[in-house]
Amino acid sequence: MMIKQAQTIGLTAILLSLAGCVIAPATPKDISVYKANMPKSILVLPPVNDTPDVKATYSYWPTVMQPVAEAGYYVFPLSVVDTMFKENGITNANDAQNISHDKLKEIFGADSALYIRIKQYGSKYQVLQTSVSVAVDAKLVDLKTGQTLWTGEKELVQANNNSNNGIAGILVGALVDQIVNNLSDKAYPLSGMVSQQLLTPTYTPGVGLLYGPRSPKFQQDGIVK
Amino acid sequence: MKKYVPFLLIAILAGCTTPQTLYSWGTYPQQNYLMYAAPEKATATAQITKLEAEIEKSKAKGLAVPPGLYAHLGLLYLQLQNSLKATQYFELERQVYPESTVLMDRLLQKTTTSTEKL
Repeated sequence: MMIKQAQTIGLTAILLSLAGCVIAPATPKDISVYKANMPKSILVLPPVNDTPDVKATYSYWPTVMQPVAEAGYYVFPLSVVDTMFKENGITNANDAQNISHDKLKEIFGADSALYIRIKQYGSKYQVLQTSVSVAVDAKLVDLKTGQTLWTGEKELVQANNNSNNGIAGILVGALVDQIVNNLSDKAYPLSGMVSQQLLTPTYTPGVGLLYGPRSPKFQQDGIVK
Repeated sequence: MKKYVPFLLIAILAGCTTPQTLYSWGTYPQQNYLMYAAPEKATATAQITKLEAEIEKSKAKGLAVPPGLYAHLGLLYLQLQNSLKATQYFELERQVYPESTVLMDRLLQKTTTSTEKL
């Protein structure tokens, strides 16, 4: 009886752990060009900020390198990339993303570049709740041929709902939330989750990056163990 | 039943994280964020102290240092006018990650010609 229960719980745990990784039903994408031009290294360019929050570029950018490297690619250090651009008079993300592929390849020796646009970043203040949202588009481009290898987009919204309290509680809650959001940039941890979910390889080829040459799962995309 | 709850929670969480990571990241990504969001909390000296200690710990555990971290340290030393240490770190990055060769050669060349600028 005890064993049976343990087995049931074990099975449930396995199912739940699988479910934990499924974000949304996804359709596979054409990955032939990506596979044929598999990059070893990815240059993450400063993300272009399409939002009113001036912090967005430099708050989002640091969250990209970890999932890219963990997927199996060499990722160029942000601080060095940023310094190189600034020393050469490139002071904003738009200008950086408009540099020719040849020039990027020449300066950094990168196989590919990741172009990111931030569509939403930060808190939306409403009377009864405050929500934090981060949304980005991304495009991986081969610097030799100029071909687009992969595209992706991700949006996450975190709402702090105060619906369980009375009206006074709601108002206080909204106020406290706003203060906390202002103090610690809540969109930054959310950005980390956006990057993670956008870029981490999944069981659906092309949803997330493919495994790169430094991953033990290189060339095993879409294979469920 | 109750005693299994923690295991269930762990299983759910485990489902969303990769079982093992390729690299030991420490606070490297957070330092990059702080460098711009709150520079006073991530001065070159403070970062070097923290990151070098983390690298020592990772090495002791046999964990890999993530791509870019050695080069990042090289840049921090360059900011402190320590071109000797900077050179060592740029060379280390190039050795561990040959994909960085073009960029590291560029940095090494500029480090030797001038300690002021990159």
